[in-house]
Amino acid sequence: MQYKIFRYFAYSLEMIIFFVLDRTPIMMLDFWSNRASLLVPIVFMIALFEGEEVGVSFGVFAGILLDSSVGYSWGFFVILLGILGYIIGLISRDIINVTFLTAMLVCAVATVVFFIFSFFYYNFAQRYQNAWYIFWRHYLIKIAFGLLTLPIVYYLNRPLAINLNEQ
Amino acid sequence: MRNFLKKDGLKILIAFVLITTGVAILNFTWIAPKISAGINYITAPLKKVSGAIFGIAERSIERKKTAEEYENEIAQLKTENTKLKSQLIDYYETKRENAQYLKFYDFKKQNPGLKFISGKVLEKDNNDLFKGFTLDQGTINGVKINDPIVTDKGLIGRVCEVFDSSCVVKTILSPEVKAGVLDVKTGDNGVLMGNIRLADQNLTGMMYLPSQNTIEIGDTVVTSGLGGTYPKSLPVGIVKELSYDDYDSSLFAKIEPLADIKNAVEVFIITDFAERK
Repeated sequence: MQYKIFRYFAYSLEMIIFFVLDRTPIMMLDFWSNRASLLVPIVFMIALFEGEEVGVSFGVFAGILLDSSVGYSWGFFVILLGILGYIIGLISRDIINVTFLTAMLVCAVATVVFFIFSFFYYNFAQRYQNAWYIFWRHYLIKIAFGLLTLPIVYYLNRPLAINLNEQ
Repeated sequence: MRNFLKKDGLKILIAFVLITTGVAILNFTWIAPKISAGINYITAPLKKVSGAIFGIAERSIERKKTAEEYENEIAQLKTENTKLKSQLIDYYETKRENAQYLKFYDFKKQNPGLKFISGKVLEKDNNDLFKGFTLDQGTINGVKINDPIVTDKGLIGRVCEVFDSSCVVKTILSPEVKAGVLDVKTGDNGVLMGNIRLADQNLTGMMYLPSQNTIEIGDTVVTSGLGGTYPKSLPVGIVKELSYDDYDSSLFAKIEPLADIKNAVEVFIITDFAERK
């Protein structure tokens, strides 16, 4: 029980730190005004290592952080990350063995799904002009950044999941 | 008496008195300095040699510091260094604040009819494609929705969401921020409205230009004050290009904002102005 508390505390601290870093001006490198975001891959990795219940909890937590930040209506990220966290947790418990390869595969699909849904909700639904331009010029780059950060996030969270474990 | 006068001691005494008197008299003549210079000339090299020898001797017998003394000295120097670094940081911070106060004062002088407060950028939204950001002023500081955001260079945007101690800003690069603007030189009116293609080039658009306009590249565009959302004559940008819209073929001007929107750190929030409705 004690290990679990330490582990969840470490995950929460990690998410808050990277959430703040994501939004600090000039902190992260950018490409065509698009910056890497580590918060979403972290949620997916936590769900992968911990299962569906923890996955949905931390997905909701990350969603609250993202929805509370600038200019978004409440609820979208909470629902999306909650659902994705649950599904990834379920997959990791019942369908796959968690290895580097399977983790990358599952999280890559989840990252693509996340950004596509974000695109549809915030750009297509609002009927911005040039929606497809926004997709290839911005969202494809966000997806690429998200995929590139997956290995880093995997190796960041794996020690936490293994070492802070009762087993 | 005769015996006293014959003694050698007396003769020596008399000779001594005569010599002393002679030397005293010499002091008041030009000969004495010459004699002094001559003596110095002869003895100076000897003095130098003896000084050098004495210096070497002094250094060789000087007591060497112990390791402990060196350590204490290093610790003391480190403390002093840390203190000086801290003072340097304070100095730069004060210098930066002074520069900001100076801008604040200049802006106030140029715009006496505006009521405004200064704000600092807290965070930039990674997901806002139009470079929106959050400021550290909120309702407790008198900030309201639609308050214009400016720098000393020009308009940046407006407040779109406000909380107790922070507010969210959308910039003039966004299609959601519209402003009535006019060309200062020609008087042609238009509506400032951005789109993503222009925003990626750090430009915004002056839409709905009259077909008979006389706008030229390089003209300055300012707010017209129409609509009551923005004060009149706030600098907005410079006309970069005239073009036709892809969707409705209307003529519009590409405007390069005067304010540095991407790198904005400290801005002014206009909380009240004369034209406000």
